[in-house]
Amino acid sequence: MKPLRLTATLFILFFVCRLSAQKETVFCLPDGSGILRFGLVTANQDIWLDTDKRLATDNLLSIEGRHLDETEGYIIEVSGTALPEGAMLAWTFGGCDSPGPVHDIHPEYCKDNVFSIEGTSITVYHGKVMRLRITQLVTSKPSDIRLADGHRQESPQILFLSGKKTDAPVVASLCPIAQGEKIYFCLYKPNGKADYADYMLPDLFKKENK
Amino acid sequence: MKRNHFLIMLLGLCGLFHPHCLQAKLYNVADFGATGNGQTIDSHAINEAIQKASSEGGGTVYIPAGEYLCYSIRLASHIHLYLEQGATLTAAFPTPTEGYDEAEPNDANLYQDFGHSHWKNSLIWGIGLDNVTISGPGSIYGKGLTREESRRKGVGNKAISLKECRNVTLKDLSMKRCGHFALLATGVDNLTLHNIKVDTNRDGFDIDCCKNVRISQCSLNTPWDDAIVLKASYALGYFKDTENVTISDCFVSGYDRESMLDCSWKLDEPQAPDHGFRTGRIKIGTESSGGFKNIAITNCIFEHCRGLALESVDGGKLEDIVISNITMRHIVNAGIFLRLGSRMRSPEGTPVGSMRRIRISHINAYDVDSRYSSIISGVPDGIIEDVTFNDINLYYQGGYSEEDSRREIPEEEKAYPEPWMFGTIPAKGFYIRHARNISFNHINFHYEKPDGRPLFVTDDAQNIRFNDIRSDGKEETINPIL
Repeated sequence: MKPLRLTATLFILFFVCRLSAQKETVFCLPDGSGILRFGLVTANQDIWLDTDKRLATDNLLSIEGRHLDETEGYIIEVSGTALPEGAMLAWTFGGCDSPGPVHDIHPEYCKDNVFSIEGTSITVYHGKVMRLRITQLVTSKPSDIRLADGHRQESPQILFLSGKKTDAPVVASLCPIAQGEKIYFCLYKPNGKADYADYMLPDLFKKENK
Repeated sequence: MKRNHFLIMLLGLCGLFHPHCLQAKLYNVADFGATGNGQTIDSHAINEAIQKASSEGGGTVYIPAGEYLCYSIRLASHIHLYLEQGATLTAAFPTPTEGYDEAEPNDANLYQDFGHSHWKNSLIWGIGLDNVTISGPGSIYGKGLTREESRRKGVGNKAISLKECRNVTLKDLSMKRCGHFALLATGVDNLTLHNIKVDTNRDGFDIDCCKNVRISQCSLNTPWDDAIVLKASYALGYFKDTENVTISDCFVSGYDRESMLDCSWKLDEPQAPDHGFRTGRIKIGTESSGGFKNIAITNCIFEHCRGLALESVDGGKLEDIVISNITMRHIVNAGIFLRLGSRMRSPEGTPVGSMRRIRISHINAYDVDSRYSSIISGVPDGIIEDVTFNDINLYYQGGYSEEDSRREIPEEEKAYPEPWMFGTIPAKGFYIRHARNISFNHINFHYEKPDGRPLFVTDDAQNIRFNDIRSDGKEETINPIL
C-alpha cells in the first residue's frame, strides 16, 4: 500500500510542478463570461497551445497576461520568439455563459452568444433576455475575424473554416505573426472607464505591467 | 436698357442651345482633392466641396465612382449630395489622431440613450439646415461606425444624422452596416425617404419628433434592431410629437446582416443581441416623451422578424393611427403588440400617455410564434381605448397547453416594452388588459399545432366587441376569459 501511495504522491507532485511551470494560454473572466484560447498554425503544426501538444510550441511564442485595474479583465501580450516564416497566431473566443471560470470553450455555454465584430473589436451579448451581459475583446492587429462553430475545435484551422451555421457560435481568427512581432488582446467587462480601442492596447499593457 | 435686353437675349440663347446653362452648379469632389481610392481620408475634400457650394448659394456636390474613406461629412443648406453609380462613402475606423466629430453637449441626454442624444458623431450630419438632398444610386458603407455604446472621442455611431432640419430628401441609396442608426432624423419637418435599401447591424430609420414624413418603397434588413421606427424622445430638450407620417410600400426583415443587399438571404444567426430573436420590424415607440399623431402605415411586408409594435411608455399620446394591408411571415414574437406603459423616461411630472383611435385592418400574418400571441396591454392608470381590428388573419404556431392559460401576468408598468416582459401569454389569440372599446371584426385564427389556451383573455377590459371570429375555420362564440 505504501509504495502505491508514494507513487501517487510523486505523480501528483510532478504534474502540479509541470503545470505551474507552464504559462497561461487560456484566459477566462472570473465569472466565466468569455474564454480566449490561443493556437499556432505553421507549415507542419495546427494546434491549440493548451492541448498536450503545447510543449511542441515552447519557445515559439511568449504569452503574458496582466489583470486590468479599471475593470475585470486581462491585457495580454503575445510575441513571436522563434517562429518560422508564415506562422499564424490562431485564437478563438466564446463560451460566455459558463457558470464559472473554465479552461475550455464548452459548446453548451456558447448557445445564444451573439457576437458583434467591428474591425478589431468584438462585443458579445450573452446571458438571458432582460438579464443581458456584455463582454468585450479587442485585439491590436486587424485580421479575418469570423463566426465559427464551437463544436469544431479539433484544431484552429478546422474551427476557422467551420462556418457560422451552428447552435454554438464562437469567433475565430488566424492572424499572421512575424518573428519579434507583438500582438495584444484585451478581454474585459466594459464600463465608463474601461473602453479600449486597438491602438490603446500596447500602452495599456505597459501600464498594467508596472 | 439696351444692356438689359442683351442679357435677357443671352440667357434665352443659353436656354435654347445649352440645356445645362441654367442648372445649379456641380461641385465634383475630385476637383477638391478627393481620391476615391479607398485608402486616403476624403472627408476633408468632400467638406471643402460642400462649403464652396454653400458659399455660392448651394448646388450639387457630385461624388463620382470610387470608394471614399471618410470621417464626418458636414452637410449645409441647399446642398444635394449626389453619389454616382459605383460611388461608396465608407466610414473609416478612428485612429489616435483622427476620427468623427465629437458628440455635442446635450442637457437633455438623461431622457434617452447616448445614440439618440447626439448628432455630430456621425458619418454625415446636419443641424438646423434647409433644403438638403442626399441621393444615389451610390452607397454608404458604415464600416468604421459602431453599434455599441462607446463614448470614446473620435468614435462615430450613425451613418446619417439630422437635427432640426427642414425639407430633406434621401433617395435611391444603398446603406450597409450603419452603426447605431442608418438614419437618425430628430425634429425634421418635411422629410422624404424614397427607394432606399438598408442592410444594417442596428436600427434602420429612426424618425424622432418629425412632422410630415413620407417613407416609401424602401427595403430594410435589420436583424439586430428595428427597421423603421417612429419615436418622440426628449432629445431636443423640448416635447415634440411625431406626426403626419406615411410609411408605404416598404419591406422589412431580419435576415442575417448584409445578406439582403448581397441577395444571399441567409438565416444562420437566429439570435439578436437583446436575445429576443430577429428584430427587423416597423414600430412606433419606444422613446415616447412626445406623442404620435396621424400616422398611416400601408402596403408593407414583414419577413423573419418581430411583429407590428405600437408603444407609448414615456407619457406620449399615440392617436389616430391607421395600419392596413400588411403581410407578415415567420414572426418571432407577438404578431400585434400594443403597449401603453409608464416607464416615464421624461422630465419629472410628465403624466402617463394615452393610446386611442387606432385602426388595424387587412393583416395577414403567417407562422407567428405563439408564446406571446398578440397583446393589447395598458396599465392601471393608462387605458388603451377605441381600437378596431378588421379582416385579420393570424396563422399561429400553437403548441401551448391549457395549463398556460392559468398564468398570472405581471403588470411590469415600468419595464422596457417587449412582449417577453409578460412571459407566456394565457390566450392563444389576444390578451387584452386595461383597455376599453376594442372591436374585433372578421378575425381568423389558424393553428399549426393544437393550443389549449382560450382565444381571448381579458383583464380590466370594458366593451370588447366580437363579430365573425373563427378558429381554424370554425365560427367561435366568444366569451372571453376574465
